[in-house]
This record gives sequence, structure tokens and C-alpha cells, in this order.
Amino acid sequence: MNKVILVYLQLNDGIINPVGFELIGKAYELSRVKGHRICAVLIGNKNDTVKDQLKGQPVHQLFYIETKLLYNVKEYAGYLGEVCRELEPDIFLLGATKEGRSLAPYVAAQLSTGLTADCTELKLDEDGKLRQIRPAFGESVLADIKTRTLPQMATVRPGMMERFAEGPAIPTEICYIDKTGSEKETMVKVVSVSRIEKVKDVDITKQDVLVILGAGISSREDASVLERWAQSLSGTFACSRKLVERGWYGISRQVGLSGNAVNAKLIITIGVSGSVQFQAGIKKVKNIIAINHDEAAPIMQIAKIPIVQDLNTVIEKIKEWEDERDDGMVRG
Amino acid sequence: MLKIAVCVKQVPKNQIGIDENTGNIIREDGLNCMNIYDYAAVETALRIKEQTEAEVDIFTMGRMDSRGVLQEALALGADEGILISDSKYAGSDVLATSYILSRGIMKKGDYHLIICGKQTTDGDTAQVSGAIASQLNWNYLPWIHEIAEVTEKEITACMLMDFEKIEVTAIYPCVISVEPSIYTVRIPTLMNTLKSRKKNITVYGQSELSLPEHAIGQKGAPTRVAGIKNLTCKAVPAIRDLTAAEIVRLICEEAECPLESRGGYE
Amino acid sequence: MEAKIRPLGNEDADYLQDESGFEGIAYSISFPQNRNEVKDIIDQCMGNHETITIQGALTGITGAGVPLEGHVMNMKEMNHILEITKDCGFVMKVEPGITFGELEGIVRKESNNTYFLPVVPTEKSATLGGAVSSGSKGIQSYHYGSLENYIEAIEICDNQGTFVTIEKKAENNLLIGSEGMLGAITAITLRLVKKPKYLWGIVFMFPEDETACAFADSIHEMEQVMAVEYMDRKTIELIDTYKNSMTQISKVPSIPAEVNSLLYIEIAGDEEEIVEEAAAVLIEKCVETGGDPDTAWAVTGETEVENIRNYRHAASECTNMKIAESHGSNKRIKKLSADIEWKNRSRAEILKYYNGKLENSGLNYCIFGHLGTKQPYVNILANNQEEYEQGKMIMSQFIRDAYIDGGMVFKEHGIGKLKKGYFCELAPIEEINKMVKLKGKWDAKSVFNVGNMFSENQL
Repeated sequence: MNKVILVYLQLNDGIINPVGFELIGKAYELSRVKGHRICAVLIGNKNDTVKDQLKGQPVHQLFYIETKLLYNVKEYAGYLGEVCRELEPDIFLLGATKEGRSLAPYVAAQLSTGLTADCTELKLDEDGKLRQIRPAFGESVLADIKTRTLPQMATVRPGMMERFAEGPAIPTEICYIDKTGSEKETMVKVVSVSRIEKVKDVDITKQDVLVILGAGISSREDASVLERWAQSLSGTFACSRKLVERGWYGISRQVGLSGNAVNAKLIITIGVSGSVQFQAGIKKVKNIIAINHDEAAPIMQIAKIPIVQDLNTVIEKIKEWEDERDDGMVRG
Repeated sequence: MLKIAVCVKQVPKNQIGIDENTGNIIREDGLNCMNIYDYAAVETALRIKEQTEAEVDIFTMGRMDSRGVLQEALALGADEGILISDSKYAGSDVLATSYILSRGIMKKGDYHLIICGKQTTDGDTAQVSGAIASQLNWNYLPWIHEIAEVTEKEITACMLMDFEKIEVTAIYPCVISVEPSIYTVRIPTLMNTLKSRKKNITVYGQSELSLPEHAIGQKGAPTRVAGIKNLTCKAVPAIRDLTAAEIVRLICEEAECPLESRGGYE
Repeated sequence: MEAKIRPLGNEDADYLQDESGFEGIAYSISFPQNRNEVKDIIDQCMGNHETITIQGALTGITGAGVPLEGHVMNMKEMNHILEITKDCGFVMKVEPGITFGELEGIVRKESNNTYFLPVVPTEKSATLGGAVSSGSKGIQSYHYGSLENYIEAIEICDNQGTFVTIEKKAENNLLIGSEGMLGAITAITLRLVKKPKYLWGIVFMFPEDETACAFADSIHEMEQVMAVEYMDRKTIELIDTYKNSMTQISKVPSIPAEVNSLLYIEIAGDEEEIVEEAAAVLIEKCVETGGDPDTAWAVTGETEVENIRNYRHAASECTNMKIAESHGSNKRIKKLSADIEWKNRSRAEILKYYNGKLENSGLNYCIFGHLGTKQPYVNILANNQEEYEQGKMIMSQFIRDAYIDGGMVFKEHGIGKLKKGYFCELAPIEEINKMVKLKGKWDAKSVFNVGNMFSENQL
């Protein structure tokens, strides 16, 4: 036990990925329990402002591995493994980004240690062991996992942990580890790199936040009001089968067993009752905010925030809000 | 002749969850199927086989009834199936599983390429392929969404990372894991389905692999589930006292910055 | 305590329309929870001199469950299993509002996946009561016959509020296909059958109908064949237009362009070797009749077969979606489909007949369904009023020719409101009188499902 928590900081275009700061924030929280030191490890080509970016963060030591190699799992994992063998941290955290999720298992197997992927919560128990909490089985359960080997490794879901906000300033000592000589040994050569273009998508299966209109909406005009509002909220909108049957929308907007299965992290359903057929289309959705006048509607039993309200009053309010906004007044 | 190994897993078709008291998986109907992400891996191997002289073997680790997924892969066009199964392997986590799979693959032959699906629908979330590569000390190309070229010496493929697409050429042997979007998966032909009945399925257990006990099953698994909490049971009481204005405001806020990102919703 | 009858509100619009696009009106609605509430509601309505339209999930395509007046009684809350007896086979007594999807799940669990109901529509959200009322079949009716064979008894509540149980062994006529016109079904007793252990689904592809039909003819005697379903190129293309938005089938690969005729065959058996042998025989027959078995797809096991069944069901879904689109712009355009079971024409002749009548009409149409039992559906997809009228005339002709052939008409989808014109005008008088007699016996007061089957002057 070395009383060190190590976090991996992912560098993209010279910028530390936000999940890195979330890891530091969490590590700080954990460090208060048993007094761990927080160290970080990063792989880059020294052509960046990492030092400045880490100002004010509670990191005692940063291991900066210098290489010209672009993302290469075997080599990167080798470097990280070396740092771990030197430092012998209790805990090693990486962000569950694509980079983190492919590096971590390689490192963990190398160190013959356990890895818990995609954690949403981390705690230290009375024995000082790391409890790794993550959803499992299609997000239907939360599993609490312990690791009996060291380092206890986990990848952490981005957006779940808080960045470090308040606490004493710690000067970060930077140790450079020069790996620029070893690049020739790799059997993987980069052919090309291209940026991924962020396309504005109206494909309802690609939205993170999605508004879904349901059969409880009684008039086409009301649906139009909600449509516009939905588009301002989430870029596009979807609907249940009934609205397609009514001829209001095409099947490309339909969510359900015979329509689309959506992957949103959050859906906001308005006037959707939530039949078995509908629910088949939202199996992957993690959070639901549902508005329905009927408390007993099936969707209200599975929603994280079920709101009982008469749709007409909500639609009136949205019309008011639209008018206000169009009149140039500031949104309340 | 290129030798390709594909790792697949049998999963329950409809998972309901886990019994909080016993830790046992609650299966609604006992139906099983191949992990949906593995189809892309099988398809990738078969497409390579269509372009180059190659032999495609399918590996799975599981209970004896996992033969089903091997049979499915054979019907799609794979050459041989290897079922790695032994009561001592039960309770393995990623580390133990990747160890067992890698030893099984090594025992069967000298492969140039191991292809895996991106993740499974039950449990391990995208770890096994990287862990297998690590166990073998091979190169690992994850998140492959496009393959440009496959020769007898190397593979050129594109990794779909967080912000970039990185195209690399890797000399064999190496492990790749593929994105489900890489190819449209074929449906087995009737002829291949019938032919596949005559194909070989080899079973490897401890008598064939003789793996050290400390590295397999629960003994070989450094992680264990200490507790389970069912999430879906409780219905949240409905909120009745919000005015329409408050509802509109709540939703606008949530859409812009979901509570989940702030650590909420539980 | 009185069962709740409430006035129809704006939010109830969905109970006034079924899959055909036919729209109706009603003044009050109820959702009985059990048979006593059904009786109570009937008593109340009789007291108020109100007629009652009984409806299920409204997945029908003839408007049979759509009310034209009075009270509408929706059975969806009566979806419970009343009794299961496992000592001699598998018998269950269920309420009529249970959907086939729900039923399947329960049967699988209760019988450990060893029994099943073999005659089920591809639309899983349809109710059992609805299927019994319309005479619905399933793709495995090819082997297993009609739903009637698996019903031991029906309990019905008549307009006096009296419960009557009709048993198969006692009476020949179980009132299947009576479209809710005789009384409210309150319980159905089903006798299920053993489920074969192995199931394969095979898609054979042909460049034209002749070969496909010759193949279908040649496998007629095979015991292991459970279903023989057909799809023409127009149907394949129709599905293609919607496929990307239907996650369930979006992963099914495209059917090659040279395929104009597709047959989906299911084979099953209790031993794997038997099914494998049957598959080998199918290949032989395919070659013998001039087909190419190399292009055939095969899926094995329930899970995989389900995917292809969804593709087959998509034919019905997409047809209905296309109609909903036209209906959206013109309310008068509704489903135009024939479910004729031909008798003397051969399979090839049937397809040639339909194509012959429609090819030169300029109308958009598609043909798919139970070619095995000589009952493929033809759907005319009208884009405007003119085409709809033209389509109706062509339908009349189909039905006329069907009766001349000695075939059966209206037996699967029913008559409802949409087809009563054809029924009253074209069906043999004996067929009409048979139903008139039944109506007279059970519901002389014409309380139930007014507007189905008969024009007013018939009664």
C-alpha cells in the first residue's frame, strides 16, 4: 500500500480531456478518507500547456511520458505499466473515453490486476478498499465491485464526477519520462489521422436528449407547438406509434417496437402512456422525464421524474413562452 | 493461409436483472443468443476470408450450451468452432477469462489475427479484447470501423477514437475489436447452415489446457461483486405540485444540462 | 358497485379508429376489469337503450371494432389468465383482452417453453378476443389449421347479461368470426400443443413467380413444413422504403435486385436430424423445380427465426403505414385488401390473376402472405380518391371471381364495416342468411357492434 491514487490524463490536441479533471476531483475526495497522495500520468509530445492547465489542481506529481507515437495501445500501456510498477499506486483511474477504455484493460492484464469499467461512483470503505459502482445488465442493477489486487483499477464514466473546486493549492512536480527513442520498435505504423466531423443530425437514434410526443396530445395544432419547443430543446423530436397512425408524422420519427429504438441518455415524454410496444424502443434510455395527466400510466412507473399535469396547461405555458421570446423579452 | 480467430460470447436474450439476495441472474425465458456485438466480428472475419485465403475459427468460453453460438457462427461460414468449457472456469472475471481464452487460442494454433466484438450486452463492457491482447503481448487495435487492406503480413484499418480517426498498418500478430457499424451482418445461407452441421466443434477443458488453478475461475478473478442493488424496482412518486411554468423551466434546464451530468438521477 | 362508464373525451380519439383508417364516433366508453363489470356495463347500456361496440386492440383492418354510435366497451384491461390446467396437456382459460405478445410470454414461462399456441397473427399486439372475433389466422396455419382447432370453449355475455359457455364438443359453431355482433366474449379456453424442439426459417429467392409457385406446389406434402409465406418485389420495395426507421428489421440485409419472388418457409421437428433432412429435401425440390438453393437464407432457433418473422410482419406494417399516409391527406382513402382463399386455381394462376388485373390499372399494389394455403393478400395502395374508387371496383371483381371459383372470402380479416358492401352484394345468400340467423338468435335487439357485416335493411 503506497497511499497513492494515480489518474490518467488524456491529452487531445494539447488539451487535457475534461474527464481528467473529473478524475482529479474524485481522487481528491477519496484522498480525504485515508490521506492518499494524488499523482497523474499523461502521454504527450511536450508541445503543450499542460503545466498551466493543471494550475490549482491538487496533483502532487505529474508523470509526463514524452513520445512522438500517436495512440498505440501496446506501447502506451507499456509506459503506464512501468509507471505503476515504480509508483505502486493503490488506485489507478482512467476516464471511460474510447482511449481510456481500450488502454485500461491492456494495462490491467499486464499488471495482473482487476479492472472495473465505466464506473458511475467510487467510494473508499472502512478498510480503505475502493468500492467501484457501475450499472450492469442493461442498466437494471447497480453493481458494487471490490478488487483484491493492486492497483485497484477503474475507468470512470465521463460527466459523473465533480471537478476539484475548493481546497489548498498544491504545487505539481513534473517528472518527464523520455520515450522518444523507442518508437522504431513498434509494429504499428500510423497511415493517416483525420478529425471526426460533428454532424448536425436529425436522426432520432443519434440524439443524447430527445423529446417524444405521445397520443395524449389531442390536436395537431398543439402538436405543432410542442414540435417547435422540442426542436429548440433537443434539435429534433420523436413520437409514439399512435401519432404516426394518425398521419401526423412519418415513421422516421416513430419510437417503439415497430419503429426506432433510441439511444438517448435523457428522454422527455409528453403525453406518452408508455405501452409495452413503446418501451421496447427506449430500452437503452437511462433517464426519463415524463409528463402525463394520468399518474397510473406505465411510463410514470419507470420515469426518473414523473410529472402529473394536464397537457393543455403546459401547452398554454409554452405558447406564452414562445410569444414572450418572439417579442424579444428575456426567457425567464 | 491467413489464420483468424474470432471470440464470441453467448448471452441471455432477455435479461431482467439480478436477484438481490442470491446474486443469481434472473432470466425471463431461458433463451440465449450470440452477443449482438460479436456478429460484426464474425462478419469481419468472413469478409476477409472472401478476399484472401483464410481460415476462420470461432472461440467461445462458457457453459456447454454455448455450442449454439458456435453453430451459428459456423452456419455463417466459419471453419471450426472451439468451445472452452470447464466447471473450474465458472466465476471468471475479465482477467481470468482473457487468460483462459488466450491459452485456448494458443493451444489451437498459430493465429495471425484475433477479432473481437466491441463489448458485450451483459457485464464486461469492452475489456476482454484488450485484456486478451495484453495476455499475449500482441498489438491491439480497438474501435475499428473500417478495414482498408488485409495482406498475408499486415492489416490496415481505421480506429474510431474520441476525436479522430486514426488509420494504422499493423504487422501480425495482433488483436482487433470492431465497431458494430463496420459491416452489415449477413444471414447464413441454407447451404452453409447444412454444411456447418458437419463442421468440427472441439471442446477444451482443464484436461486439455491444464491451467494453474490460481489463474482461473473465482480464484483467478481479482474483482468480485460485493453487492447488488436493483434499480428498476422502485417507482418514483409522481410530482403533482409543479405549475406549468415550473415544468417548462425544469425541462428547458434538463435538456440543456441533464441532471445526470451533474451526478444526479441516481 | 357500478362499473365506470364515462363520456368520450378529446383524448379518446384513438378508440375511434383501427388500422384500416376507418373512423367512427361514440358517446361513452368503458374499460371493464372483469366479467362482472362487463355484465354491469351491458345492463347499464340496455337500461339507457344504448348500443355497444366491443373492441380489442384495434389492430383490425375492416373497422369491425370501430363504433358508429352509442357506447364503446374496450376490453384491454381484461387481460388476465383465469386458470391453467397442466395435468392433461396444457389448457388455459384466459380473458379476451390479452394480447398475443402477453400470452406468449406467460405460456413460455408456465410451460417451460414446451407448449405453444401455434395459430397467432404476426401482429403481436392484437388481442385474442379480436382474433377470435375476426377469424384471424397465422403463418403456421399452413400446418396447424385455424385458431378454432385450439379453442375448447368460449364464454359470452349476451344482451340480457346472461353468461353462456359454448363448448366445442357440444356445438360445432364456436362463433368464430362473428365480429362481436352476438355478445361480449368474457373468457376463452385454449388447448395448446407441444412445441417442436427445433425450428428453422428459410428464405428462398426466385427471379419470377412461376418457379416460386412450382416449388411451393412440390413441397405440399412435407410434414415438417409449418409455413409457406410469399412476398413479391413490390412488397420487398415497400419494406425497403421504411426499413431504416424500423430498428427491429433494419439489420436484415437487402434482398438482391434480381429477386422478384420470395418464399419464407418454416420447418420444425422434435429432432434435429429430422429438420436437417427436411432442409435437404427442400433443397432438392428447389433444384427440381428450377430454383437456385444457393441464394437461400436460413436461420435456426426461435431467436433468429423471430427476426425473419418480423421482416414478414413488416409487409403488413408497411402496407398499413402507406395507407395511413394517403389517409392523412384524404380521409376517404382506407385499406383495400383481399384475403381470398382460392379453391380451384393453382398458386401460379392466383398470382397471375391478381397481377393480370392490376398491372395495367396504373394502381400501386403489392401481394404477400399465405401462398401455401392459396391465400395471398393483395393490397391496393390508392394515392387519391379516383384510385380508391377504381380499387374498390377491382376488389368487387376479385370477390365475384372468388365465389365463382368456390373459394372463401372474408374468412381471415373479416367483414366489419369496410367490406359489408361486398359481402351483402356478392356473397352467396346462404352465407349471409347463416349470419342473419345467428344474429337473430343471439342479439335480435341489435345491441352489439352495429354496422358490422350487414346493411340496415338486411336485419
